[in-house]
Amino acid sequence: MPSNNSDQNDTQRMLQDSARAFVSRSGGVDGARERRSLPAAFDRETWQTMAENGWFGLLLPEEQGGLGLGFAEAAVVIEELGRVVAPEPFVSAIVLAGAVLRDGDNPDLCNEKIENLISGSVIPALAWQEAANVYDPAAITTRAVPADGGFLISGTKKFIPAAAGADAFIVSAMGPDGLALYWVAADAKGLGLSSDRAVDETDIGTLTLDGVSVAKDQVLVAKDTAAIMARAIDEARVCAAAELVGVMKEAFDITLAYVKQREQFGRPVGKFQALQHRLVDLWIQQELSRDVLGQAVQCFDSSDDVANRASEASAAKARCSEAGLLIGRQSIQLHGGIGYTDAYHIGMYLKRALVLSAWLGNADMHRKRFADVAPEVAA
Amino acid sequence: MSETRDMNALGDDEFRAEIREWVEANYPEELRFFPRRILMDECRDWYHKLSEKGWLCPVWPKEYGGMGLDPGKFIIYTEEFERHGVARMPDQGIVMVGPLLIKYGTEKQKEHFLANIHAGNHIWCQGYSEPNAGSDLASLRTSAVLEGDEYVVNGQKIWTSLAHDASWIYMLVRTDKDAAKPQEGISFLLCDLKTPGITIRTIPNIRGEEEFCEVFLDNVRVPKENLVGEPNRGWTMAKALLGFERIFVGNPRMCSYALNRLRLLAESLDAFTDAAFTARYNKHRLDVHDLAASFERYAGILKSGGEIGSDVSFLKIWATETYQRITEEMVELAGDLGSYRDDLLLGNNKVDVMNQFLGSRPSTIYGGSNEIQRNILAKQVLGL
Ligand SMILES: Cc1cc2nc3c(=O)[nH]c(=O)nc-3n(C[C@H](O)[C@H](O)[C@H](O)COP(=O)(O)OP(=O)(O)OC[C@H]3O[C@@H](n4cnc5c(N)ncnc54)[C@H](O)[C@@H]3O)c2cc1C
Repeated sequence: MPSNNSDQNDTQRMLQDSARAFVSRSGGVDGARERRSLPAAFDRETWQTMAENGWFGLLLPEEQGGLGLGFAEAAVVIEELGRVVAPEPFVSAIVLAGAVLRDGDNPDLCNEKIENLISGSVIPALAWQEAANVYDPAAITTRAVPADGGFLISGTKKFIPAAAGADAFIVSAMGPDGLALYWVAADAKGLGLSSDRAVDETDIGTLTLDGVSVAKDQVLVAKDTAAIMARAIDEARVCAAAELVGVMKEAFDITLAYVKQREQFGRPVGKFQALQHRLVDLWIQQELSRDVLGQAVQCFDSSDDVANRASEASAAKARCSEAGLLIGRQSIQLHGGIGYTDAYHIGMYLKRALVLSAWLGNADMHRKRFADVAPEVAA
Repeated sequence: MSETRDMNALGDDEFRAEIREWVEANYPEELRFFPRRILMDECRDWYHKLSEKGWLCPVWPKEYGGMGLDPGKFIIYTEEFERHGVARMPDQGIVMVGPLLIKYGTEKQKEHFLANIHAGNHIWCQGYSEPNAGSDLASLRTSAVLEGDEYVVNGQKIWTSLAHDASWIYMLVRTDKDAAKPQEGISFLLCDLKTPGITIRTIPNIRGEEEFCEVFLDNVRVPKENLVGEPNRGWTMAKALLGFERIFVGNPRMCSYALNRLRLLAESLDAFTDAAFTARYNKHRLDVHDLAASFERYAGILKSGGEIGSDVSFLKIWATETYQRITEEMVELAGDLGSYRDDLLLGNNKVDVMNQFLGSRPSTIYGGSNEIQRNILAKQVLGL
């Protein structure tokens, strides 16, 4: 008998139900895979339905028109999206971009953008990273030079998820008073966007800004920008970990069902002890992942301590990335030949895990970061 | 001899503070972080102090002289004992025999045996395993045949921890050879180790310590009042004793301790300048961190009055295997010194590399080996 550990409250259960209803209405995994062939590699209509479900305001405070809920609630929805490998950029556009808008110091502008974010009418993308494996928000060369009462921004931004479907970019640049974030519409003059496909067929954009003109009142964040961004990035890491948990749980469930049904040597292959023990080991990684995620979520819902948040985000992202990849790889192995086909869905889970684990720092990077930020405890 | 208050009524912090203060004031300094299993003679004073305070048996109900702690409070109690480095006493009477009798014993058995546990007169050991019945415990063959008012016991127990330090043994014995299933012919029997016909031989373990024993039983006559519960129901009772305490094998304490030793060793050998080692070390650190997160979830289930299922087995697997990986890393890191039997003295640091490495070995064997735990998880949790 399992432990009775239904730790969900009513709100979380409701959200889970609504997320499950949503993913089945949107065609489950088949739908999620199809939507990747659209030009933006995700579907605007599906996005709108997600907005109507009220999910985009989950993490935003009520004063800003959000629901004022926490990461525990957001994680419930994100896990379900992970379970169907949905391509819609919830974590990057809503969690990551939403967090800098929430904390910005230009309330009029930020609140207007938040309203559009929550309604789904405008999809922003945070364009901040410039070099691979560099996660310091201030380690950039993009410049915002004062001109005509506004700014001219020049530089290159990389690794922007779902850039092709974004209506606007939140661009980080060194301005006259240090690091700041600027709102730049996707059709601004001087803006160039090139797209690469990630292995899971979602979009990764590279943005070039060549003297893009931004009005003075389009500065979202000008004070403590690096800290605000770091906070947002850690929040996104926890949510990416939640998505990885969804991905690995579904991959594991599919695989478990398969080994119970696939027969060789006159019995289900799941009867072989070698496979049973391996499945147990995968399941252990899944349990550790959900527990370290649970701890991170609890930390983010209850603590503002920067170091604490950083170490919990890194612990969660490290475990979930590693476990997601392990379960993804082993799921293919345990399916045999059919696991290597494009038509069968299991491979998509490995691909999604590859994308989510690489984004915002992989397991290796986060183990190092954990070591840097978490104090050693005495015996 | 018993705590008169209901300590569950205290707030968690208040309860913790009280336990901590008393343990710090009363536990003998020289026994803190004892390097091996402690013997009764080495900790008798402490045993009596605990008993007098009424804190010897934390989970026994109050009417039997226990503290009657709920699981949440019990976790705090254990945390405080471990934090202070309180050694694990010969506790089979407290942990196993008490709860067994409270659940299944007669009034007379309870009165007699529980009082003797409180008084420290009876020190118990566990006689389950036999030479040919380890993981497949139900195949055990030590037999008990009723003759008049006595059971006559013949057979052999093995790996019996601290039998040489104990005065009584609780055993699983075969009382029905013809039962339809092997599990259905097993009974629970309590036996004074001074009874004629019993021979105890210690078996030096891999660390050279005398910790476990062989117990030979040759026409040992045990009064039939010492059978617990119904005859042939021993297996069911033994299984019913596997309570919430199972989460404690997943306690991250051992791993944290070993990790600290590894760090000390690494600092002594200047190993953190080696990126490859540091990466492995960081991995161990997170393995322990995440174990603690999982342990906390189960502790939380208990604290909120929930029940623990067989899924908890994964804690044992992860805790013991993480512990082993860390001690393996110590040996590897020690290089030439990785063959030394005794503690390494490196500058001012003393590191018990081999002691940890060898000491971590049996954790994956006893209490249901990790292979058996995986079988259980595969069957009961994954439905395979
Ligand atoms: C330090 C220590 C203290 C102990 N103290 C006590 C005590 O106080 N009282 C007591 O009664 N016992 C005690 N034991 C015994 C312990 O419970 C047994 O060693 C354990 O149950 C395993 O039994 P075994 O040694 O016969 O190994 P076996 O059961 O023979 O196992 C040998 C190997 O085969 C594996 N194996 C067995 N069956 C399966 C299966 N179905 N599938 C896959 N793998 C399998 C095992 O995991 C193991 O790796 C102690 C053991 C140790 C090491």
